Amino acid sequence: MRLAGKIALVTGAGSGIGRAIAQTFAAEGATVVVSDISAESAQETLASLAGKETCITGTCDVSDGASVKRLFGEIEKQYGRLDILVNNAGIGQTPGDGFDKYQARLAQRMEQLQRGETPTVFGDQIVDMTDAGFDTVVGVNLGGAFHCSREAARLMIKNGEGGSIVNISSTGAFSGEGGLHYCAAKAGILGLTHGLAADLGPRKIRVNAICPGPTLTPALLAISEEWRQSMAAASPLGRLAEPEEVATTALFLASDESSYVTGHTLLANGGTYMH
Amino acid sequence: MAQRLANKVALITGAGTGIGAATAKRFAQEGATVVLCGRRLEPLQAVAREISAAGGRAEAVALDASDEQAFTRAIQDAAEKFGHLDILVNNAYSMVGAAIVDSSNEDWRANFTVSLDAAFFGIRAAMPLIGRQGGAIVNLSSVCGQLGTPYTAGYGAAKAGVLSLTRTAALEGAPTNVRVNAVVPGVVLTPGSEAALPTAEAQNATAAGVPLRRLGDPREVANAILFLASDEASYITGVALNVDGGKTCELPSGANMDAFDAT
Ligand SMILES: NC(=O)c1ccc[n+]([C@@H]2O[C@H](COP(=O)([O-])OP(=O)(O)OC[C@H]3O[C@@H](n4cnc5c(N)ncnc54)[C@H](O)[C@@H]3O)[C@@H](O)[C@H]2O)c1
Repeated sequence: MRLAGKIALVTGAGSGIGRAIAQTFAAEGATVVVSDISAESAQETLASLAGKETCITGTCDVSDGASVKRLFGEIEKQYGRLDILVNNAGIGQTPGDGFDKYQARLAQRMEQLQRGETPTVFGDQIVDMTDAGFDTVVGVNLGGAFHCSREAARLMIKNGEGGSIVNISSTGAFSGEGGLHYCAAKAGILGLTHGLAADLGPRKIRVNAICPGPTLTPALLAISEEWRQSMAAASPLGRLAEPEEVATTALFLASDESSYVTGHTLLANGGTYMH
Repeated sequence: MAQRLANKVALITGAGTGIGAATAKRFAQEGATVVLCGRRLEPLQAVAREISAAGGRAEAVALDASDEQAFTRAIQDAAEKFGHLDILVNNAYSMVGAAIVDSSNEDWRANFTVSLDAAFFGIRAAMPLIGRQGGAIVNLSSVCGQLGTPYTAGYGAAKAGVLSLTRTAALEGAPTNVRVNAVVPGVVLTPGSEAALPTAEAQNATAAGVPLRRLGDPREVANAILFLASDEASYITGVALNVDGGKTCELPSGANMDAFDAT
């Protein structure tokens, strides 16, 4: 078992990719702290884990530094250490951010194109994006990774045995697909990854990022079959990712098998974007 | 634990020493049948014997990977003999390091014949065979192909070429589920790099410029190659996976005081 004896915190573990990561890590022998803003979904994930008797859930809003501090207080009390952090909690949009207006315009533009007209409507996403919406999306995705990395680094430094931090970014950091706030936050995560890796390397704390492509999580299962198929067709491998495929990628970066890998951005997108 | 390369057949070039040998042993541990290729038979046989002694399956084939016909034949033979070929690791390289102003045309070209030409020959021959059932190709690049490094113009250009070849091959292999990725090692202690860093002082000074403050071990690169070759990387294609201790995320800008002190 590749994570035997390790304590791992997975944020946003109540759903999708985070849940798959928690399950994969537990199956490899890790004790997983299943954290989510939703206590109910975290409970559901916990119930699905192998070796769950050693695992706990912790309700936490990663965008709130005090909430993260409380969670780490619990982890320290319970286990006295942390070996692995996966910064997975994330949101793509938030009510009132103006993103819906942009999507409505894109739909209008598509209709114009389908009617064979020269389109007169444009995306212009930033024009309607609100300050509060931008701050919220950046606050969860990037602020959350910052808050959790800080507390994890404090614990890992105290413990003196190093550790591994895995940040879930997105292909959107490069492709610009999705919300501008989301893409900005996900690109910010890569800068955070580089800075942390360089600074914490001498502490034997490795920090890496994964950029998943479109993955079959609840959000993607909610869109139309037609839309999903067009996304799959756009991927060179001709299909979307299963959450488990992102989870095995996170397992590689979390485990000692990647012991000389740090500061790296690992693309897991079926070849949709390469650099 | 289920073996991660059970029933797979893998061909590895440059498998007699260093990263190639470590990869062959790691693959065999995970259940693969490994075909070891390289110019000199003796080190290949030594690795094959080690693998067999540990209960694995390996076969040594002496060839120069830049010899298109010999390499192509070895790939076809492997697929025929074992019934299928699932994994190719283009690991062999040759290098002539010198300042640009001191390099002859022959010096420059010598860097491309194995690192880049052989990788191309290998991909061309293996893609249709691996494509019968799907599988993976892993090409060895180098941080020299990403960063500017003095005295390695040809080597760095060849290794940068490997990254481009990887991306194109990934697109052409995708329809038959042949994933093609590159591993980008930093400074890893192998016979090749020890020749360039012969003293402890030289090795320490190099290690000081790496965030993890040490040089890599071939087994660490082998683990990354294993990951990309295995089904655990089933949604990863066309990537360059750095195994460099963080070398490429911390540039020698003066921020790293350890490296400053050491030079
Ligand atoms: N699914 C994809 O296609 C895809 C692609 C690229 C990147 N990602 C990234 O992967 C990660 C997981 O995505 P997913 O698709 O599994 O999403 P999801 O919505 O299914 O799961 C996200 C989880 O995060 C939790 N969460 C949200 N805000 C939180 C907060 N403030 N504090 C704590 N938890 C919070 C949610 O409750 C939910 O359980 C995200 O970072 C996402 O940006 C997903």
